[in-house]
Amino acid sequence: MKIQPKLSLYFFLIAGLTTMAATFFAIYSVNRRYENIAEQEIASSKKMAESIFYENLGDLTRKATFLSELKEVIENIANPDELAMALESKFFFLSNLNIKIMDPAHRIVVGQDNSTPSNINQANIGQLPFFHPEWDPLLRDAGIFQVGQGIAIYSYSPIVEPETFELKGLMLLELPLNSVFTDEIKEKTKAEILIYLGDAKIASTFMDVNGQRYFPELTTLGTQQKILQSTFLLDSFPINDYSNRTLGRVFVGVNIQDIIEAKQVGIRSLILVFLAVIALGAVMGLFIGRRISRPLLVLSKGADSISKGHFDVAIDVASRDEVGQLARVFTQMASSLKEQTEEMSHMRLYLQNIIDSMPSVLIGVDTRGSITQWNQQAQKATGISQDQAFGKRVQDVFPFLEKQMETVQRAIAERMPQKTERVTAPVNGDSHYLDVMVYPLISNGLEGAVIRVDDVTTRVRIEEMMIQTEKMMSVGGLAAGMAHEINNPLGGIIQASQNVLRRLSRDLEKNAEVARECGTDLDQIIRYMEKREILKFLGGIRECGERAASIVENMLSFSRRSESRKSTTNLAVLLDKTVQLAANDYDLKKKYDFRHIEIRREFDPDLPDVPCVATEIQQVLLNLLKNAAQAMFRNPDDRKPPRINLRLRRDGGYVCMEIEDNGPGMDESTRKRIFEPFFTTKDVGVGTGLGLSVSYFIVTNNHQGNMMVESIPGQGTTFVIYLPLERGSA
Amino acid sequence: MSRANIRILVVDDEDLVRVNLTAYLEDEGYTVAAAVSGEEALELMKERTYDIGVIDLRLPGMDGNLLILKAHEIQPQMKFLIHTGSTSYTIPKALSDIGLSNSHIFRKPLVKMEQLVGLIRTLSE
Repeated sequence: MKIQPKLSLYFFLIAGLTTMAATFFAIYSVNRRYENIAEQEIASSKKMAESIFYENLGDLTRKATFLSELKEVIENIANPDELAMALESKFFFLSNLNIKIMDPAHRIVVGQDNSTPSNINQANIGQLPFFHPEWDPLLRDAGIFQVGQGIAIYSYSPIVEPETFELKGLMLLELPLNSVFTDEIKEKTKAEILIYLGDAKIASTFMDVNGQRYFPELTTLGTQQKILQSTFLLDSFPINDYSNRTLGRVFVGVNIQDIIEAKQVGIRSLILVFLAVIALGAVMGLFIGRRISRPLLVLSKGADSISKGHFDVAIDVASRDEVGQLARVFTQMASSLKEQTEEMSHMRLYLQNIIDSMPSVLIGVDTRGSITQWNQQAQKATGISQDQAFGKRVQDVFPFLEKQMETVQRAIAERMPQKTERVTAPVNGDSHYLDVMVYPLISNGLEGAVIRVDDVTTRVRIEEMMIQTEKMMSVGGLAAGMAHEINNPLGGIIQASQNVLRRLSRDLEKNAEVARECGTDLDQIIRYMEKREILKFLGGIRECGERAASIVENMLSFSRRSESRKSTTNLAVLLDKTVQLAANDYDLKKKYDFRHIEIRREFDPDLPDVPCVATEIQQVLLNLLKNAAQAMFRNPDDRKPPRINLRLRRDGGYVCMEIEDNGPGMDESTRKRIFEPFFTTKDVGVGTGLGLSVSYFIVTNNHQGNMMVESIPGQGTTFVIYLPLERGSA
Repeated sequence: MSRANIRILVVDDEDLVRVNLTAYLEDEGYTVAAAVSGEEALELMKERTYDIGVIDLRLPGMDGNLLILKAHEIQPQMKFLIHTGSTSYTIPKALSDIGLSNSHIFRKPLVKMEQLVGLIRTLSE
């Protein structure tokens, strides 16, 4: 749950619960208060009604006494009509009273006509308990009695002749406890009054809508009761008769409808207030939640964007409270993070730069051989980008490293660098030499290794070449030393055989002359020589001597310097001339028809002339063309017409010549030894094994150039010659 | 001038070479004398004149160069060929001053002695 609704909810709950508690308490108080008011009112009404009720008892006695002592009553006792008239006219207060006057014989003389709704008549008067047969002139009494269906307060007082104390009659007052009576009480107490005697409903002050007296059924006393659309609180007190017997009850009812309504209005107001407070609480909660959460939200957004690497955020929380402080700390943290990150990325870039600047292929691998680091050189060597390489297995990218994976594992296991030199691998169709070094990663617990691959092809070739040159120089030195010593006897052999043959020939006149002087004939000698094949042997001596001389001559070229004979030469012209020479070469024509070879020329037209000994270079080129022709014809491939590509181009301070054939090519071991003196692949007697070594010597030693061979078995061989454009100092 | 009137002096310490050259040039009709050393050659030159000298460079005693210079002092009309086993020899300044050039050098083994005759013919004309 987000912090804003959480805060809002908490605030709302706190405000709501507090208000609810306060409202409940207030409602409870109001309730109590109104109950108290109602209870007090009913209590006072009841008290008042009760006192009015009992006041009437005494009052009635006093009235009876007063009336019995009246002069008009005493004097007119024998004349009841006048008496009645006098009483009626003079004493208005008696309106609700029934007045009975009896004579000493217990006959009702006044009030016997029942003009008033009295309970008492001549027949039932004897039921009044306090009504003695013998009246005491001094005795007066009052009480409540039920007579017949009615109930009333009765009071009597003897009528006595004041002079003689002669008993003249009895004054009896009857105050019926009827609705008139209850109306009177109601007037004073403002409460509704009911008089019920058991089931008999005697009096009521309730009026229904038709103006008729209404006698409600009473349920539980002391509680509220709905009567005629109003709520009443009811209480009662008992009506006890003369002998303290309870005859019935007077019910006092206080209309508490207003109180209830007032209470309800109060409670409703309280609830309204409660709701208002709740609503306000909710709004305040939202507001406060937002107020508190918004900076937090800003902070959170800021932190989020920091975590995503945007360190330039200024977290804009203006407040000076803890959140504001936190925001400032965050902003500071972001800026220091930014600094550190920049420093780190700078460092990483720097390191990457170092790694990328290495001329070696550098590959980082984990323990399973998956690539974790890939430098630019690796990318260059494979054409596979860093992203493509990551996660791949090394041997999938560098198949030739398949065999090296054991070494990688060993380097990791033994924590020792491993080195494998001169691993051969095909690169762009050529065979290359690679040094593979594996360094285990031993720091910071990161398992894995770094594989370093160096292409040492050029170095290996140079080493080979140096060995070659060394060999040639030693041969050259040897040859130079030997030549002089060999050449003299060789010259003797050759020249002697030449002289012998000449002196046996018929061409010299002197031969025949000397033969005759010796007593023989030159023809006979020649015949003999021919017959015994002596001339052939002599010719053989001569030929072999010449061959030996040419071998020595070739060997001597290893030590010969021919600087002085260099002249600027157009190599294109020289090459064309040499091709022509090769085409006309008798030896070549004999076995391989040079005209069947397609010659392609790719000559740079702007090629400058090159300082060289033209005859030597021609010797080299002729040698190469012959070799190419021989190689192509020795292993004829019908599907592949023989072709020689000749290329001339400038390469820096050098002119580069290439002679490429599509012959059978040569294997690695042959290629390595091809320039060695006396190394030949031709049949014994066909080649001396000096042609290429002499060519090599001419190019590298006499011209300070360079000569290389590249070959793919089955596809062909390319000889590359570099000649410097500047005259060398040597 | 007939070839017999042309006198050639062959100087070489190697017997077979000396004999071969002598025999060949004689067969070609020249008058040939031979010497084993420079000293002997100079002795011979005191007695008569020579038109052509075929001189080996490496000789016991004085070497071929010195011999040519001395011979030139005695008989300035004499022309010289150099027949040497050295592979690196070129005509020094002193000899080029008296008219020799690299074309006068024949390196051993001289397979075709006809070449020698060719130059002798040129020089003696």
